[in-house]
Order: sequence, then structure tokens, then C-alpha cells
Amino acid sequence: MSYYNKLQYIAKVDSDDKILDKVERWKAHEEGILHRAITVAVFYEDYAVLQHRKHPVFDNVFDFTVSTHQILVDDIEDDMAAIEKTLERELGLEMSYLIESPVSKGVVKYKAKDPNSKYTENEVCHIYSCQTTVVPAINLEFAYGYSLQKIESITDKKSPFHTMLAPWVKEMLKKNLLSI
Amino acid sequence: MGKRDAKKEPIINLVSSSMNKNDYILPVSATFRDIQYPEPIVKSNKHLEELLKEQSYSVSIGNSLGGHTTNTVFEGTMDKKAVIVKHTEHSIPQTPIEYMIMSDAHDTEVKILKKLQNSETARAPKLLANAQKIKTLVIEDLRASGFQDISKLILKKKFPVDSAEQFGTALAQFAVETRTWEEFKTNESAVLAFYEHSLEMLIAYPNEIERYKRLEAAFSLKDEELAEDEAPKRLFVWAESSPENVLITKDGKLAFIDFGRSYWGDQQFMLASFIAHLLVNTLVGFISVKDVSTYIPTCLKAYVGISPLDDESVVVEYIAMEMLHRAHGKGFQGIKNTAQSLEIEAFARSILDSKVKTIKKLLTSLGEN
Repeated sequence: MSYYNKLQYIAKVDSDDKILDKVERWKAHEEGILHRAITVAVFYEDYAVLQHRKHPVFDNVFDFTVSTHQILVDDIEDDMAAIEKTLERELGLEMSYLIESPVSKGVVKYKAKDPNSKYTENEVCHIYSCQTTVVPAINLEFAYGYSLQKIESITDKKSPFHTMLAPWVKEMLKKNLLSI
Repeated sequence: MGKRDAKKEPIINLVSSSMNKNDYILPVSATFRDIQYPEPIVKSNKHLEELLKEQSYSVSIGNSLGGHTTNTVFEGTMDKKAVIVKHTEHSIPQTPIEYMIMSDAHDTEVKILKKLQNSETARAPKLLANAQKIKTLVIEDLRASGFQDISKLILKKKFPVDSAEQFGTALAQFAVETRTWEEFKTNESAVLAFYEHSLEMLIAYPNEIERYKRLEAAFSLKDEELAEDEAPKRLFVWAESSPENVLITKDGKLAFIDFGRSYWGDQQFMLASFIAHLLVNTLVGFISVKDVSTYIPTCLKAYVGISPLDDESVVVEYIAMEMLHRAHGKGFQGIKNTAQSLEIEAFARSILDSKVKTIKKLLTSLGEN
């Protein structure tokens, strides 16, 4: 079964990131319900790894680098556990390939309607960054490809990649969270 | 810690489990999950005629000549003359990268056609009408003057081998002439064009990031070490320099078409892209090795006589990169099956693996293939 067809519950939160309930992930995105999420910015040497995202929500944008949700069954999944699974699933990166464990960089709150689908992102997104010693083995189930760009290439608003960044990455830029 | 060994770790999804996982690059393909494609602006040929009429152009639209990435091309008549009508808007993308191409491609093409109207070296169709509001242009139908596109001749196994010198000369003259142009806004940038053309190479060689970044810098004439005023001048690049967009008459006159995706960067890619298409056509059997081995050196000699190459080894790398990009038939007719795709991939990889530096050596490898 495709990863996107699996039943998953995620955390419905309030604006202070306090968990209110669990919500099925597609319902959350169809109804624009505020929920918790994670983005992990991955660096290889001094290059930002941009994932050309293949996804029902905000398809065909560049993510820096991968985004996911903390699964909620009885308890909310720990951020680090969710990151570990996502890095392996989408980038083929084991934690041992990282120079050190992902570091928390802060939180962004944003809401953005995807113009090309029926979905809306409305998230309290926990931002992490890490540096890998190997290049990603990109999983084409989740990406069309990837690009390695200097951080200045994506912060520069004239850069061709800047306009194609995912909305949460633009929020990360605004808050200056994008560093190793 | 050492680098990941791509030979041991499959990095790609497979179409067939019988294939060698490490030797097969999955082409980039679109997914169609709940994506709401915009309503087309033009609903039918008649509707396009009406829209053109509103813009004061009386055009009778005939058969569709097919669509390219974001446009549809029709034959038609205007003032009793045969014309080509090109309407630009998003169609369902073959790959998501095509959604990077916006309707500004129309404006880019119009600007270039206007610049080429009085060119003494490069023949391009005359621009007869520009309905900018509906992103539609009307150009002369060069077929009425005896031109036909080289790719159609190739598919009929009638590759015009004798045109090598004319083509090399025409492309080099075009390159030289456009160097006098001041940079203007185009729809696409070299960096995004490189992303599209190099993706298959990046996936095939995940550990060879140095080459990827070096080629990207060459392709876009971007040098991060240099200050902006020290960087080399970016030059005009006609990105679609494939046999499909080169027209020829029986007596060897040439014309170039399709400029909407042009950008500013390294002009050497124009020659590399054309050669890559010829080699792909050779590997799938539409051009003989003998013919292509005659054509390419003659064409190259004519080209460098007017416009010397900056770095031939980079041109060879561009050729291999472009062959990987086209191996699965993107924007290319004539590949019949996966075995042919694999053969093209294998040849391109052998060129990159053995670090071939010259086009002559590349052709020797083709003969040995």
C-alpha cells in the first residue's frame, strides 16, 4: 500500500501547540485543521538539500528538506523518532550517517491553501536541522528529484528556487531558522 | 565516514524486477493525486479563432501540429497565407518540472523572434501577429517555403548528412550574433534548466556531487568564488536546439524555431544538445553510425571555425547528461522500448565513467558500442 493511503492519525493542536485531539491526516488537510508537524533541514557539506516534493499536498514545490507528522496512536510520537523514520524512508539516511543528532531550530506557525489541490496546510511545525556525511539516496515515491543549493541561493528572492519553495520553508526563511 | 556506495545500495524504484537495479534510472514522472489542473483558456479551435478575432486577427485555424510542453501549435491561414499559430498555456504536464514553465514563455519567444526578424545569419519564421493578451502568436509557415524539420527526416531514415557544415556554421553564427544582445528577462533560468536536464545524471551518480556542481556552474556561467562584476557574461542559450526545431530545405537552407524556453548561460549546450539528440537517434537505429560519425566532426569543425569551444570536455559531459535526460523519451520520438532506453543510458554512463574528453573519442566509443 502506498504510504499516502495508510490510515494515520496526527495531533490536532491549539495555537500554543497543546494537543487537543487526534485527527485523521487527510481530514486535517481537507478541513484545514491546525495540527503538529515536523520539517528537517538537511545539509550535505555546505549545501542545502532541496527535495522536489511529490505529495498530495503542495506537490511540485521544493522542501528543505523533508516534512512529516508526529503520529498519534495513544501517545504522540516523539519528534526524534518521527525524524529518524522520515530520513530513512525519504532520503535513505540512517542516523549514523549524521554528524550529530538533529538540532531543534524553533517552531513556525502558518496556514496555506494549496492552489493545486483541495488541501490546506495549517501547522505548528517543529523545525530541525542536521548535517549528513553522505548524499541522500532520494526515494522517488516521495520526490521527483532533488537539488543541492547554497543557502544564499534559496534566501535570495531573485533565485529561481526561491519562488518554488514550500510555504513553510518561506516561513522558516522569514524567521531565519535555516542554518546548520 | 565513507560515502554511500551506490553500487551496493539501490537508490531507485524499478519498473521491472528483472532489470539490474543499479543500471536503471527511473524517469521523472508526474503523479496525479487530487491535483486540480486549471481550466484551459482556449476550449477549441473555433474558440481560439474567436479570441484572435477579438484581438483583430482574422485567422482560420486548421489541424493541430501537436503540443509541446506548454503550448499547442496549429496550422492555419491568415490573409490567404499559410501560417503557424502557437498558443501558450499550461497543459497537463508530462513531468512536474514542466509546471515551472510559465506563460511568460510566450513573451520570451516573441522578443526573440522580433530580434531575429532582420538577422542576416539566422533564419527564423517571420512574426506575423502577436495576440499577447491570449498568449498566441502567428508566424509564417516555413513549410510553404519548402522547409521540413530534421527530426521528421530522421524518423523516415532520411537524415540529411550533407547538411553538417551548414548546420555547424548556422548554429555558430547564431551563437555569435546573439552575443551582441543585452540580457533581457526570459521565462526560465539556467539554474532551473540545469535542474531539469541534469536530474537523471544526479540520480545515476548520487556520490559525484563535485561533477554535478561543476557542471551546474559551467551551464549557468555562475562562479560563486567570483564577485558579480568579475563573473563571465552570460550568453543567450536556445534551449530547444534539437533536430525537431531545425528546419531544412532540399538545397540545405536552415531555419531555427521554438525559442520560448531560452535562457542565459553557457551557449555550448546548444551544440551539445543537438549532438546528443543525433546520438540517441543513432542508438535507436534511425541514423547509421557511419552517417553520424561523418556528420558530427564536419559540423563541429564548421562550428569551432566560427565559435571556438571554451571547453570540449564540458561539451562531452553535457552530451552524456542530455542523453541520460532523453533516454526515456522525454520530448523525443522514436524510442520503442525499455531495452533501447537502457542502451542509451549505458552509453551515456560509459562516456561519463571513462571521463571522455573529446567528441572524437566519444564517436570512437560509439563505433565500438
